[in-house]
Amino acid sequence: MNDLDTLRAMRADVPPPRQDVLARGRARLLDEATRPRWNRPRQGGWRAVALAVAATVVVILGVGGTASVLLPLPPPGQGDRVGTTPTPTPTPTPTSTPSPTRTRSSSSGAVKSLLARAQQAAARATPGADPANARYFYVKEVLRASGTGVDAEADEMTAEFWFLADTGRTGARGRFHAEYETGHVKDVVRKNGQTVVTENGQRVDHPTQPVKAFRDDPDPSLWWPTFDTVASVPTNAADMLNFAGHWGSTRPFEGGDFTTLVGLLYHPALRPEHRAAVYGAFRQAADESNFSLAPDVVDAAGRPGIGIVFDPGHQQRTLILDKDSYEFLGYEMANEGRGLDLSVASVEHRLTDSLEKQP
Amino acid sequence: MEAVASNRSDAAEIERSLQHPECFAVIYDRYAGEIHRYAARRLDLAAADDIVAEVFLAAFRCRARYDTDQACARPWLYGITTKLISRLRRSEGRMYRALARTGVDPVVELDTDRVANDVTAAAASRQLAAALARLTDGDRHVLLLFAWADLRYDEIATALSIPIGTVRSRLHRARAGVREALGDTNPLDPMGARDT
Repeated sequence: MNDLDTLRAMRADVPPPRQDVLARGRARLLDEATRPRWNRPRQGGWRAVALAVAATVVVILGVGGTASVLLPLPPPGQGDRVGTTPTPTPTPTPTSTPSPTRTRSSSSGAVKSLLARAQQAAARATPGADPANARYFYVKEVLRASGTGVDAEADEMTAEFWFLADTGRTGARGRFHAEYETGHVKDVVRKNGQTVVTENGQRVDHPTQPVKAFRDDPDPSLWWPTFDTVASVPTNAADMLNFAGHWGSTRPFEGGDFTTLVGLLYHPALRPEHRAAVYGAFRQAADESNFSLAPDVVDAAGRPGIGIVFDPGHQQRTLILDKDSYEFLGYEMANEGRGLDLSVASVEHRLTDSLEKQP
Repeated sequence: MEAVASNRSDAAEIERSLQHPECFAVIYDRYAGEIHRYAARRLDLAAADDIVAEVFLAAFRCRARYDTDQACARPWLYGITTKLISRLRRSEGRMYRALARTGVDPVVELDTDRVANDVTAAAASRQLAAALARLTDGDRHVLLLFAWADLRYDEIATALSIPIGTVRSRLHRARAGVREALGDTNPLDPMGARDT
């Protein structure tokens, strides 16, 4: 008996899967396979929307860093503001330790009450300017990551995106600008059919992997729904929950459903009635799932907030809201064993006429 | 669970599922059991319960990119499984270290009718677990796809998108690590013979 035989004997008696487990997995597959195409997650899941886009770009363009400096926000008043989350507070420093250690309240009533207030605040918000062709949505996010989600070296960065506000297309994007905690700056600009990458102002040869995020044409593999899609999402809570993939009778509310709803909150074109429906959907999900409150959380940009935690057992997801205005601040995923996976703060989004800060 | 019988190749079923998505259930019926078994050996039963569903959902979503020249989908599915297991690599490492330390395997129950053998097997498992914990992710993936999933070199290369030469070198390195952990003697060999 050689080493391979010995290895083959290890755990060879593992029990076969239970039939109910296999049946449940098959039902999930068929649920997605038979779902209307518009309500089926795209390849890789555009459900994660902004944070997935950001994480993808970090992976594609990632560079490392070790120092810890959060970048200041740009001065207010540039472009037509369609949404700005509260001004970040410079302290306390965001933590990358796992969330499970923080104080949590498991009262379903408290969770639903907070979500009701967020829903009301969202419904009362003033609609932003309608996007039109030849304008850009400017989106600014701060990301903190560890583990396998994003380049392990690049655990903190500020990312800015300029999305062409062409309502029918998905991937038309003009510019990505990233500043890492080391001070390293990276820009990707799509112009005249060419993608130009610069690092610290110096043009560099592009990595071998193409940056699909900067295609001129719609790219079905991208993780960002078109503005048309976002404009047509449901305006009531039950349908929104359905849109998120939670079809109630077929399976329990899942982490992916939670992320889908959060992903919509990041979308700069989401209108107040849709935003309110997202919070309503969370309220309905809280009726049947394990939600709790984390009264003192800090988002990736260092802003204090209140967290609504969904813990399906293996990966905890937290929606972070401003304590006073109930505006959406950000989202984080953490694992009990390995701590923070990814935290993305939505710092600013607005309409603008041009690609700013051209390198 | 209602299984769908089919004589078509995996590639044909996957191609067909582009027009008729529900046909992908055939692939599930063919491989869900063995994927679960592999994931359970690498992690634990609870994690395998989750992973088996995730593997087939991920495969379904990217089936348009499947290389239909590959008649058999096993390497592709094991590649996806490996990626999902990689996300849990710290859990896997922790599990191996715990097994090495305690000798108690939460996945496999000891068979009381074979106590003597099991004691020896448990000792081997502890040594193996320690060895597996020390391997790099890449080496461990290759070794376990070879030993537990019974993939050939070329299938492992396909699953992990690496050259076949890399498969060979990783397997060689991983096996050397395992042999060293076993002290170049095999505790399951009744003669205690050196195994070179």
